[in-house]
Amino acid sequence: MIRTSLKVFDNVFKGRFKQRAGNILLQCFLFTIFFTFTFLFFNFNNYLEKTSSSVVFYAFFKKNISSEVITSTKKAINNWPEVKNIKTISQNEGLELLKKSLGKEGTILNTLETNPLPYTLEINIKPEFTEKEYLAQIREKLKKYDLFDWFDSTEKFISPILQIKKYTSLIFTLVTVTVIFLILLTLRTTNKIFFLKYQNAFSLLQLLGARRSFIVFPLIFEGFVELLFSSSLSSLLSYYFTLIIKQELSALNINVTTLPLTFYICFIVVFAIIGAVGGLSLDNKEL
Amino acid sequence: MVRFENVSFSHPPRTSGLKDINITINKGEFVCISASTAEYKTTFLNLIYGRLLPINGKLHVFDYVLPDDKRKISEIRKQIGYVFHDQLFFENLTVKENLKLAFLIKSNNKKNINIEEKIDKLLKENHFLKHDVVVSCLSTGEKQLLNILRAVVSEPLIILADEPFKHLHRDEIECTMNLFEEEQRKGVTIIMTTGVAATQESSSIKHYSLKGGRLYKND
Repeated sequence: MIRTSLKVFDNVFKGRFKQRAGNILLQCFLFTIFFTFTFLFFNFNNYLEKTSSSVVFYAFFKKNISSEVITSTKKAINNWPEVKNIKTISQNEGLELLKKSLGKEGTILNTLETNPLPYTLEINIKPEFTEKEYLAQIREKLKKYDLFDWFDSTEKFISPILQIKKYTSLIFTLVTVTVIFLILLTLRTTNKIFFLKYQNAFSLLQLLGARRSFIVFPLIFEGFVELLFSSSLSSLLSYYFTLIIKQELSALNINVTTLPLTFYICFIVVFAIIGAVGGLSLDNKEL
Repeated sequence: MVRFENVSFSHPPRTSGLKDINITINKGEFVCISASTAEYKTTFLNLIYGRLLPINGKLHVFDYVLPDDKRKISEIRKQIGYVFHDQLFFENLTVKENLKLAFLIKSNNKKNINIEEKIDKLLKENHFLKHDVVVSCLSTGEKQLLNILRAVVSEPLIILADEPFKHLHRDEIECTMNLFEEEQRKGVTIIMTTGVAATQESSSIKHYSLKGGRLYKND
C-alpha cells in the first residue's frame, strides 16, 4: 500500500516539490532566528550565572602587619572548605587596580606621596558556597581575625544580577513561545496551502476508492522528511556559524559557548515529528 | 450483490427524492434504469457507490450494509467502476496516466496484472482515444470515453454507468455497449442509467424506470 501510495502521489502531485522547497527555505529562516536568539540568550545567561555564582571577599590588613603573619593567615584561610583560592594584593598592586577602576580620574592618585592602601587578601569563594547562609558564616569567621582593618565582598552585586536573570528568563520564555507559535502557525499555513492547492485531486483520489490512510501516508512521510531536512540544515548552519563566532571572539578574549549538540538533535527530532503529524491535519473537509 | 431494502433518500431541506426503493441486483446482471431529467438516476448510483448514504432503509453492497458500514466505503469503491456523471479527472495527466492511477488505487497493486499491457490493450480496442494526450486537451466526448475506460480498467465486480452515452457518437456508443456486454459475460454486474430516449434494447438487459422517486420494473 505504501509503495502504491507514494507512486500515485508522484504521478498526481508532480509540482509539489517546488512548494516543499519553498517551505524548507521559510522554515530554515525561522529556525535560524530561533537558534540565533537561543544562542544569544544561552551565552548571556551563562555570563549571568557565572557572575552570580562567583563571590569575592576583600580583607584589608591593618597597618604594620609583618609578611610572615600575612602568609600564615593566607594559609589558614586557604584551608577553609568554602575557599576556592586566595591571592595577596600588595599595596602597589592595590593602587594600580584602584587607578584602573577610576579610569581618567585615577590620575589624581599620582599626586599621593605615600601609598595609603593596606595589604589585601582576595578570597574567591567556591560557587557551591555562594548562598546567603554560607556567606554569613564566612563573614563571621573573618570578623574573628583582629588583623583585618575591615573587609568587603561582591555579594551586594548578586541580587541585582539575579533580578536581571529572572527578567531575561521571562523574556526568553515569552520570545521562545512566540517564535515556536509562529513556526507552528507557518507550518500549519503551508500545510493548508498545500491541501487547498491539491484539494480537487485529494477528492478525486478518495472518490476513486483511496482510503484516508492511502492519501495521508505520503503527507506524513513527506512532512517528516521536509521538517527533518529544514531543521537539520538550519541546525548545521547555526552550529557552523556559532563555531566561527566563537573562534573570532576568543581572539578578543571573549568566551562564548555554542549550543549543546543534544539541543540540536532534540530540536531536529521534535520538529521532524511535528512535520509528520502535520500530514494528519488533513481533515475530511479538505478531502 | 446489490440489494435495496426500503431505501429512501432526499437532499435536505428538500423532501422529494428516492422513496422506498426495493431491488435486488445479482452477479452478472445488466440493469438499465431509465428516467427523464431530475428523476434521481445519479442519486440511485451514488447511493450504491457510497457518495450518498440512505436516510431510511438498508442498502446491501457486497458484504457491507449502508449506512452502518460507512467506514468501509473505500472498500466498496475499490470493487466498483463508476462512469461518473460529472467528468472528474486529473486534468494535468495523460489518458494513460489517468487509467494507470485508477488501476493503482483500486487494485492496491495486489493483482498480478501487467498494467501497462492491459491499458495498451484497452486503448487499442477503443481506438477513439490517444494514449499520451493530456486530459485537459480532450474534447467532451473523448473525456466521456476515458470516463468509461477508467471504470473498466480496474476489473471491478460492479460497473455503475451514469448516462454513459452522453456526448458519444453512434460508433462510440456501439463500442461502449460491446465493452459492457463483454464485461457482463465475465460476470461483472452492470448498472446503467439513461435518459428515456437513449434506452438500449437488448435481451440480456433488465429494464427499470424511475418516476416520482419510485422504481418500476418495465415489462
